[in-house]
Amino acid sequence: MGTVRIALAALAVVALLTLGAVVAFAAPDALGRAASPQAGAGRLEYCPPAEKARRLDALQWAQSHAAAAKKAYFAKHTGAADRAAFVRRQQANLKALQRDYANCG
Amino acid sequence: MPVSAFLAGGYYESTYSLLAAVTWLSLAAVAALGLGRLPSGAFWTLAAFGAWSAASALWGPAGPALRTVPLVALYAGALLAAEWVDGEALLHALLWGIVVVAAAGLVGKAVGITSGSRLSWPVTYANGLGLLAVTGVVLAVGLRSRLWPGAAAVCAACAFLTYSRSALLVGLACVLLLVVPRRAALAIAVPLVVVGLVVAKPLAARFAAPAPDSRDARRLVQLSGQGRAPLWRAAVREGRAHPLVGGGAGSWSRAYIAQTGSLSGPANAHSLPLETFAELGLVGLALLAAFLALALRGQERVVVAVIAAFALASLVDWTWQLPAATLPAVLAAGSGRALPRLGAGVGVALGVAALALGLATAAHGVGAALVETGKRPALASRLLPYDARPWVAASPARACRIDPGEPMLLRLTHPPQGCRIRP
Repeated sequence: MGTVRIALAALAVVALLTLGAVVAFAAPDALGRAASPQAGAGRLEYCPPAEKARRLDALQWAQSHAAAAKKAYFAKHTGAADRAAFVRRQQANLKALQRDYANCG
Repeated sequence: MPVSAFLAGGYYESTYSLLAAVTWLSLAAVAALGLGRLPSGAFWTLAAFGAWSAASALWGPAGPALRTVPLVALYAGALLAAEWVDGEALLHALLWGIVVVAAAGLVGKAVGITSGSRLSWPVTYANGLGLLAVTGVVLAVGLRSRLWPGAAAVCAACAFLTYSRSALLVGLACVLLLVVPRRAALAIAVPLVVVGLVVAKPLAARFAAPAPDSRDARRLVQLSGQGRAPLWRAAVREGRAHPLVGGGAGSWSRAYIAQTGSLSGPANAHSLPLETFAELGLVGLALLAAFLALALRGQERVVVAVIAAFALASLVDWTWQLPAATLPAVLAAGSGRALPRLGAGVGVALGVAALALGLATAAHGVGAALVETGKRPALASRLLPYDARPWVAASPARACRIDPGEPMLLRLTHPPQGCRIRP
């Protein structure tokens, strides 16, 4: 029993050392990134990976389609009040998308 | 605990998985040598909670469910380790570990290591650092060790500068619990509860109303829940859809996206009991409640105050996902237990189980580290075969085959189309 116990303890210690070597070799940046002051649990919670790129995509999509959407709306609606309301909504939407993007990291 | 605090609070999946691996491999060596003690009921309940989280991969999304298991394994391992060492020494070490973290945060703010008006570094989440710092105050006041006023002052200054309302309220309540005699505490608590019930409705309305976060000292007098109400509603809806077993561990963020159509939500429901109900159902909630009850049973007042601070803060925040904020309560729960020593046979059995768990969490941790750094997707996929994330960037079609519900796939295109446009 004594040999089994010592062998098991030695195996655990070897596994610990191997783990350190594997992390250092395969993904040395992972722990370094978490330790840097730029890392952020809060940022990752509220803005997961790929979310910043998605928000930028959404903003650019809205910006590039804004003129066409406005033209299409104006072609169908001739009332000044309707048109003004549409422009207000469009601007508010763009501002919200800009804010979303700025808040993400 | 300080190690996890300086690694972004231990929030990263690779960090908590590797910490779990180190903990369990160390426990394996100690158990094999027969130096450990028989685990307590609180440990077995936490282990059952972890097993239930793992089992939820059978009915929920497997990737997110198995991502949560190393976190519970870390807490269970820390609890077991705490049960094997001297309780009094552990609590003192815990206090001074927290003082080091709080002092580092204050120095970091003073020398400008970090930006932002709320103090959050090194934990990198202000409410998490706030809870950790008030835990330090509670320990300092409760233990009254040498230099305790200095330790309490450092932690209190750190807690205040986080401007965390939940942490400061919880800290105040727990310090009162410690210093006020039990009868006087009851005399204070009863009128407070009555007043709370009277103003509950208008307070709830103010809490649910959206309001911008000033992110400075002014937020201490604001009543807004900063958008928590819709997160909680989503959790309740998901829990009601599967009341007994929940939607699967780690499934809340998917349920939120499905319910609201918004990809801008956070990763967690900001309430441990509600998220547990949503993801693991009433069974998971019962296991969590049983763990807390057993952790509190027969403990000294200072330990009760530390666990109560964590439990209260977890009602309104995602502190469970932040090991630096949760570990103090878990370690305190394991302190001061008079448990029988491990026999030779039980020691070997526990050692083998700990070794297996250590190796599994190590493999998961290395896989998660590769995912986070975006390196070697093939190796990451071999280590995490149930997870779509290694392939999202390199081969979205392959990621879709593994897990079509992965939110990262939805984030690839605008408007979000996920796997619908993929072969």
